[in-house]
Amino acid sequence: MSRSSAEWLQDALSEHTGVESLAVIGPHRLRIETKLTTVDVAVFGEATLTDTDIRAEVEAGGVAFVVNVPKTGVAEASARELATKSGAAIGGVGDLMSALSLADPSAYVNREIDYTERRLRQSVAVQSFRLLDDYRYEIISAAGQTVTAVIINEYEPSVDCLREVLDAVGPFDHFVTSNPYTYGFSTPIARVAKETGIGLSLLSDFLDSL
Amino acid sequence: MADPKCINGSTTPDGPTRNRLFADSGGFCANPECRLTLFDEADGKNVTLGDCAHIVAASEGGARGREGSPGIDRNSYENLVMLCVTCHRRVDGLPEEYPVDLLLHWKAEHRERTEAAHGAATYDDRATARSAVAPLLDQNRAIHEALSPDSPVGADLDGSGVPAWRRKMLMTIIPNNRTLLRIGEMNGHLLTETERAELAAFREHVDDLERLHIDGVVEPTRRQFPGGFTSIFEVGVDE
Repeated sequence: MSRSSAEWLQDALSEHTGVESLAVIGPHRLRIETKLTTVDVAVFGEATLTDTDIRAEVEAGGVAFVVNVPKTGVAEASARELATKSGAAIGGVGDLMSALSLADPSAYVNREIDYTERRLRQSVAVQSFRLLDDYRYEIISAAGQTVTAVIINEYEPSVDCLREVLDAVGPFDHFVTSNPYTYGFSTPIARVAKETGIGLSLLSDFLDSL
Repeated sequence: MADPKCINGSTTPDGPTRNRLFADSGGFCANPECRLTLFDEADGKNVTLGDCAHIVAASEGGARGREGSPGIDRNSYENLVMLCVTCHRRVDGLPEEYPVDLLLHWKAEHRERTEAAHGAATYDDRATARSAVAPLLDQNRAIHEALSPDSPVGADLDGSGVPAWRRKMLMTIIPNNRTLLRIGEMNGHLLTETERAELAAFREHVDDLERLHIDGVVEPTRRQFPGGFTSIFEVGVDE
């Protein structure tokens, strides 16, 4: 009999030093006790996580964090919005690990997403934006142009990274790095970007181009 | 493309060329009678006192402008020398006293002096060689731990640490790496077989690092610092 998502996560966290105890409450619910708090985590294993997937669990109440386990899994905007509306944070296993170090894991915000959205909010070139899923933003420029962009914080964005995002969410207009240390993109990723019709930019240059 | 004009204080070599000139200068004016430090600091702000000065001027009407060979790339690394602002004005204002050959000699001699100042020499024993490399390794490691993208400062997504990191890379880490390579190469007789392999790996790492930070070229297969190199020349290793 295959394990539930919650059972899988229970095994994965059993050696984690920050975790005091773990209890599977249901196929999609794991209760986690840390030194600071005890929280219920809704656990899923979807390639693409939607609001339909998580609705029953979050609307039952008491969920502090919604975690989608697969490394290449994507949470659509609908899932993110429902989780947030229900008072829960949402992310992958890495995000959950960071959240568990907080006294209130439901308050967790991925700092790179938070930073990106702050840059977009504060840019005079951006009229509005919304997160479509874990990777893509739909951005409406001040001039009224609509573009889709994946904005990551990689120091040296790799070909594998670009291809994995393309496999996960399909086509988009721009692949952007916000890492201030980067010198740019390598020839291989530039070639793949050209083949797939995707623009490569540093975030500052991307905002200047809008 | 129109011939760029040097307005004695303004020049148009590209970024990688400027970076290479600064790295070669070791942070000092190439005029042997000057040697002014090319950076200063006031009120917490860094000030650059160095100019990429044309040996043959950017245009034929400039200082030494007609002395270049046909087809010369006036903004190339070979035609530029790092001087302080004052010496730049002096050599361009008095071209008869500062001909092309003299400036080329300054440049070559300054680079040799910078390399020698870092103490690359041949040693009789491993302990002495180790005493030469250890401070350089320690300094590079300290800078990396304090300012690299992997450091706590590097976690600032607005990049407050970027200017200091890039400056330290060009002015300290890369020159130290070149000295470490020279010490290793000049003291091969003291190296173990394993250390020769570490030195070879370090050489590739240095080349890739300079390609990134001087030339601005991103290589997907950039070779990382070989960890075993940190113990090169350590006494007690089976020789």
